[in-house]
Amino acid sequence: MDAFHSLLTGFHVALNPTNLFYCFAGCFLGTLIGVLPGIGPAAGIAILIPITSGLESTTALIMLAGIYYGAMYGGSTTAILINLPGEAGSVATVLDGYQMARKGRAGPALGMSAISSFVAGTLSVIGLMLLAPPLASVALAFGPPEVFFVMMLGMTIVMSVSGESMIKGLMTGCFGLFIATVGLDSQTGATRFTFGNWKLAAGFDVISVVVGLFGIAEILSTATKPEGQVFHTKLGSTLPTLQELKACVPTFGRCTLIGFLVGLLPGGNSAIASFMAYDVEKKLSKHPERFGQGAIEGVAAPEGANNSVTGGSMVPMLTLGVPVSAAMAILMGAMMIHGLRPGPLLFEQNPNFVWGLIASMYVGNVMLLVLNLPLVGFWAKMLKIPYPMLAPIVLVFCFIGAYTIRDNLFDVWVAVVFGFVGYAMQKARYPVAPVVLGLILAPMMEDALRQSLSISRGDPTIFFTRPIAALLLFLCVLSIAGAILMRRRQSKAVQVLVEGAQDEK
Amino acid sequence: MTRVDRIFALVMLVFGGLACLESIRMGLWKGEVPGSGFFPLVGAGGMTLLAMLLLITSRGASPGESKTLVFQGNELKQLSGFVPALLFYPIFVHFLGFAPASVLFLAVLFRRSGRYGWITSLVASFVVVGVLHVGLVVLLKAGLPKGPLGL
Repeated sequence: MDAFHSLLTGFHVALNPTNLFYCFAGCFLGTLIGVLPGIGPAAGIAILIPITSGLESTTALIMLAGIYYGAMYGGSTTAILINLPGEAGSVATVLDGYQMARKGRAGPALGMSAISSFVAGTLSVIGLMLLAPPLASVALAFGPPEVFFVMMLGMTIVMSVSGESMIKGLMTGCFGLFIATVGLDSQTGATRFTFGNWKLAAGFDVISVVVGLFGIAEILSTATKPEGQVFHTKLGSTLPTLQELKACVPTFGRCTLIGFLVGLLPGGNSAIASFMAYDVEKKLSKHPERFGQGAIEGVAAPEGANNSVTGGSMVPMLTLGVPVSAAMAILMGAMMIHGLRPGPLLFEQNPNFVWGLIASMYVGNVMLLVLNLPLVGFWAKMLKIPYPMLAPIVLVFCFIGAYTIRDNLFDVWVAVVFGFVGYAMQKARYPVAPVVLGLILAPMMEDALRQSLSISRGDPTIFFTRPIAALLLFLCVLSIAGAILMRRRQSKAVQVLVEGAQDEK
Repeated sequence: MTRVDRIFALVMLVFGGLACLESIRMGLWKGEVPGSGFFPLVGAGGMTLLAMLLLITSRGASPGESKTLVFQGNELKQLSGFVPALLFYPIFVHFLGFAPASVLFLAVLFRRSGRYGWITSLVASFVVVGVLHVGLVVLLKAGLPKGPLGL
């Protein structure tokens, strides 16, 4: 009942006209970001954070969360129409979505993608609503040693977002950890790695680094690739048939569960969830041979799963302050910029914010369904904007993003330099997400480590003798083992799917 | 492992090694708690060790797996437009202000990477900057750098 009452308060906040407007703006911009290839949700949030600097914190985060799940919705449009996923979570949608478009069924594919995203997105918010408050209550008992291990748990995510090589991922994670220490040491007041430059004393601004690594680097990388071609086909009706909808009802349930559970796990990103959901649907189907040929369940499953991840991944971020993906890390950074510290106290100290955000996700899901079903044709037209026209405009947004955080041109230079670093990393196939995780988690980790050792007067056994800390340490080990297993499983699943698709051809 | 990995690992090894030395100089422990250099050493040390590991594992790489950072096809041509524009943009913003510098930046890139005519590029950049100015400066009151023209 408590959750129900809190949710009512949340709706009171979310349905405020200003919040409704910014929720709509976030959903619209997010869908646009998802539709346009080359800008993922993480880069989109990073670029648009400064626009929210003048807004009240709840309104700002409602808009940014809208961008996040809006991008998840929009990613399917390019996947279905031009065989190019708008973001990583839509990679699996390509397999059947594009085949449906080739058969002249692009409309129902886009419609099913929107419906599945709506159902799974809404159900995952219910999961978030039910699971987050009890987890936050437990986390209230955490002291500095426990917080240290929670941050360590966050760092284990690096292993899951490492891409092809774990060594490369860990190395770039350490790089992020290192650059977070540049500037003034908050405890001793000593300057670190500033080399006499007073502008470096404030350290690297997280948003500038993120804008560079994700925004500028992504634009440089995409601008140098050959352009994708829009598949010219009549969209027709965007509504799937009643029979298709009925057939997809169990799919909605399964993909929601998979997406939500994967979202809860450190490193469980939308790409993993969508491939797992696709794999499960194919295995459970009476006609698995239809998958890869334009099966509508092959669109519903990955799209539902990648939207369900959004609700799941909000749980550890809001309750423990652990961002499970790059987009969540950036969203967490945005919360901190707006003076909110994610963690167990958030539910006690800012109930209006938390419940307003949760309620806005329900509202946002409805808005996205309304935006996506009738406006499919409009989004398809957006794809016709030539990239050479779009890329410079996005770069101007990157500039505004980096500048307006502290009204400082130095941050723009930081973004430009990290843009080149990010481009070089992408070209050499080094993952950039671990840098951001290291950068965001390192200051909190360092503080927790120092506070813990201050309490114990330098005795390191404090980390192993407290039951919750020991349990969290065990979870860290489990997370590392899980990440290794998940990597193996994912590569196997992708291999099986690719082989299956080749055999069917 | 590829040639690029070896180059990157070498760069990280040198960078990490220097950062380790500086971290140790800052002091690793102060009384009962870690000093200013402890945490940077964790990051830099990790980087150095992993770079060494990458170098060792890349020793047995077959030549067939080698990839280089050499740009292919149109890549260098496209980059030659974006890179100087990105480097000059903040300088121009500093001297001219956000709006005039952005018009120049956009027009040059539209012309260079999109191969549009100068008139089309200039008109498009004026429209984009105008919309941004109204949306961000007039409506959202964002504080963007102003130049001699007050824009």
